[in-house]
Amino acid sequence: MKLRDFILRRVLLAIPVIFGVLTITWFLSYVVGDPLAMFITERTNPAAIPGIIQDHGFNEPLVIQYFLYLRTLLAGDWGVSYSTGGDLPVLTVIARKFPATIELAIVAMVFAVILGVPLGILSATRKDKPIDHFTRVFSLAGVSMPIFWFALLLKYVLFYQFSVWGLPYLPSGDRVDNELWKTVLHNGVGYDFTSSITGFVLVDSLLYGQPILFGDAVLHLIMPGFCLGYLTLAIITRMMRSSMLEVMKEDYITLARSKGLTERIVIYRHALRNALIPTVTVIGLAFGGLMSGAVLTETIFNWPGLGRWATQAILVSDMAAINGFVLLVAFIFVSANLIVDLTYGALDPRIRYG
Amino acid sequence: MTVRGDNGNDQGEQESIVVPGLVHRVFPSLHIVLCLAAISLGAAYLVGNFVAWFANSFMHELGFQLPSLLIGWPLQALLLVVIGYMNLKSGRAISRGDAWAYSSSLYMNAVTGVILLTIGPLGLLPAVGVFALVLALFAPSVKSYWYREFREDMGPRGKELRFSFHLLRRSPLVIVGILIVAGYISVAFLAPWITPYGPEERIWNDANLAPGTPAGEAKANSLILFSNYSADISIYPEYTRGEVQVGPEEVTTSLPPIIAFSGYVRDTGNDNLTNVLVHTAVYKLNLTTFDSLSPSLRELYLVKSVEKAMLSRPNIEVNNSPSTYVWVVWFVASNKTVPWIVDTVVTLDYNRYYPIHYWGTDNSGGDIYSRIIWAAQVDLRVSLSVVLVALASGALIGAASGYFGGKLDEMVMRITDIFFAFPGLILAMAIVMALGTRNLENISYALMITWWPVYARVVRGQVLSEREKLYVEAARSIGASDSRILLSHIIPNTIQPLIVQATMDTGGVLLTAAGLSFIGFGSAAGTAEWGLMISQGQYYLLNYPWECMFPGVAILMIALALNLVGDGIRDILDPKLRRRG
Repeated sequence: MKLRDFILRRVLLAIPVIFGVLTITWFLSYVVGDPLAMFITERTNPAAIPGIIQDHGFNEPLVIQYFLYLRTLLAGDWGVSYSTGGDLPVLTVIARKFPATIELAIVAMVFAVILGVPLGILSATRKDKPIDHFTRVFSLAGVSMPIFWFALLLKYVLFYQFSVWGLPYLPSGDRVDNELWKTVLHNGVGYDFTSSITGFVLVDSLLYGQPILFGDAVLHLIMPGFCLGYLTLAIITRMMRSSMLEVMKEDYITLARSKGLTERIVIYRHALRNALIPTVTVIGLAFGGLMSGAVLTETIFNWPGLGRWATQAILVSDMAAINGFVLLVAFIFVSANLIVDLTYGALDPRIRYG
Repeated sequence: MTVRGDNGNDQGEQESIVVPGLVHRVFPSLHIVLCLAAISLGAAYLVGNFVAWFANSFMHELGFQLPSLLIGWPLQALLLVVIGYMNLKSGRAISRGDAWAYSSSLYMNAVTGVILLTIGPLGLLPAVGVFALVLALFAPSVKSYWYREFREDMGPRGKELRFSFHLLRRSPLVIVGILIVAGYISVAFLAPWITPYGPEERIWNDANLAPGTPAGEAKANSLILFSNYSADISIYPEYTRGEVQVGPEEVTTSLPPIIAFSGYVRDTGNDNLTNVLVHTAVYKLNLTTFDSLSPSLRELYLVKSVEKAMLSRPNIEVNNSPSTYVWVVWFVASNKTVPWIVDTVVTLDYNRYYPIHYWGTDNSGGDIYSRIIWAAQVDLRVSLSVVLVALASGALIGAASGYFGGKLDEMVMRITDIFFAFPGLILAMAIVMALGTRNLENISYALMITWWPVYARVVRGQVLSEREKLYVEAARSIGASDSRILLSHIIPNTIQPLIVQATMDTGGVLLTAAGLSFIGFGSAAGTAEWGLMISQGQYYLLNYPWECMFPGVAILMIALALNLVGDGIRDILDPKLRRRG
């Protein structure tokens, strides 16, 4: 099986990358924070501290400590994040917060793909027409937009000014309107990890059978989703436009036209499929970018996801949390790359793995 | 592609006999001296960094302190040493009479000069020398020695360059982008002359003013007429007086000048009751007349006098026309037994006016217009230095990796993979934290470390394709060394994609630095920096939206302009789009 070999090789190649990420973050965190701080609180008995040092190997040389860390990590113990209320294990926090980020990233990606691909096609097929100029300026603005400022601008217009003008306005932050959830579900806590089923608000509200809640969740996702997706949207539009222009010059397009096929079929059946390949690469690579963007977007929209958690963790030197977050992102990034490579094969039968 | 051969030696020696100019004999030694200066500066910085790190890590108890002048800029220092060493080699080649070494010296000195400019005050002097050296290359006696060969070599390239400029003129968006970037840079340099307020100057009473509101306090030029601090004055009564001439240049605004006094007296700590009056007065007289008149006659010319106990800070307005005044400060004590401390300052505040806060003020009374313009200096410096250093180090690493291939290549590529697997912002945040303090300097270091793999990848790809070409083979066959092939033959041919990448990245770095600063990893609160200004303005967004709108527009505009330029240059350099006709 060629495909299996290919996947296996890619996974093997990913191991040193993950390992390197792990090493760099561990050493960085060792420099930044006191690893002992994780185990000592103001209630710790001073007499117990040497014991703690002994137990966790903090008196060992650096290299030994590194291997000890690797051992606990592989055993599934990613440490305790003390910046979250109640000192939860990192894996638990990730499990609770990951759905929020992934949901936001998916919505952002949906915005980016649904708007970006058609805009790119439109722009390429109507080159140098007003729609093309508009699209180019729009996508250029997306690449140059400071995402945190754009978020504030959206909030100011769509939330504040709209409410001042008496228009229907979008909520300014949070995943859901907790008061609404309390009254509809009679659960007293609103929406958090105890009342969620899957962790995804959109799915949960449907599982509860409450279209009002679903609508509320959608409203809450529009602003942060678009804000996060704008950069990716811009990149996809540009990529789509240029690859479409490239493809439209090819001989087989001329052939398809000369056969008497309609322009619609030429564009959507012959050109689009070939033009999508570079775009898919961009979509895959954009996931890393979305994770970076999530840090800023989540901070501004008060989104209880991984990005905001990581920012808080870095600000208070919660090293276990940072290590966990970075490791997770590296995993996501490497797997996104793998998926992109596999998608090539589906799009272009000429590509052989080997 | 022309091959620069080492056969230039013979030719060079012949010509050096023909044109034995003084400059030409002095030039190589000057060159070598400056190279040595650059290398030693770089080495000093590296050692300084190492010592600082060592002292911080292991010598807490000793209280050892290194002068801060030599700490910082480790990457630039490394580059200075590397480029300086290569430049030294070309300096020696020049003194041996190698005409081709002059053009390498031109490139390398230009790069060295720019790097020197980014490393603070110590780099300034050598930078001037290096740029003088670059200019000296074009002095007639030196120029005749190398320029003809250079032109022949550059002939075809020059033609391409002219065609590029032709294409550039035809794309209005690129021109707009270049104009905006040039505007930002000149505004950053002109900041002291075009802003009414300094970057951290505040008028606390003017907080949260809307755009276009006049300031609540007048700005003025200030001339110190007299200042005195004395801790042992027990003789009284005594008065201090002086003359001030208000000239026509000092009454150019509609507000009259003021003579501002600050007279303060207190005891040295023994006596709770300082029964002292501070008497200040301004007379419309000149000093000689003042001295000749009796006290009662002087009172006829009195402009105003103010008398207060212990602390007096009157501002006495004079006429808004040129004339001469006498000011007087007089400490009057009734029963004083111990020495007292006096602190007196008299200034003339002239050309007073009320500036308009064109873009409003922020929550602590800083003028947003002035702050945005001052911030251009800071932000542009950060992004430019990050891109330059990342570009130079990434290009060197990538070129070496692509050229030598094998294990080195594999290793470098795995390392770049690791860097690409990090989200850039998070890595930069972690590095800033690891460096200890959150400030812009550390943000630049962090971004340099995050950004170099991009350039390493770009250059490596280019080098891989260039390596196999015929001109490299030719250069190798005449015995050129690896470093020479790489630096003077291959790298110049990889420069085009690098320029595009660097232009666009300058915008990207600017956005990332502003983002880092926004979430609190940047400079201390109150610094004029765009990201930080937005960050502070966001709490007042609903009531005073201008506080974060204007800095955001500033970032958006410069990033947009850089992207326009990068896009345009890429289109111009793209061989597919470049075809004529």
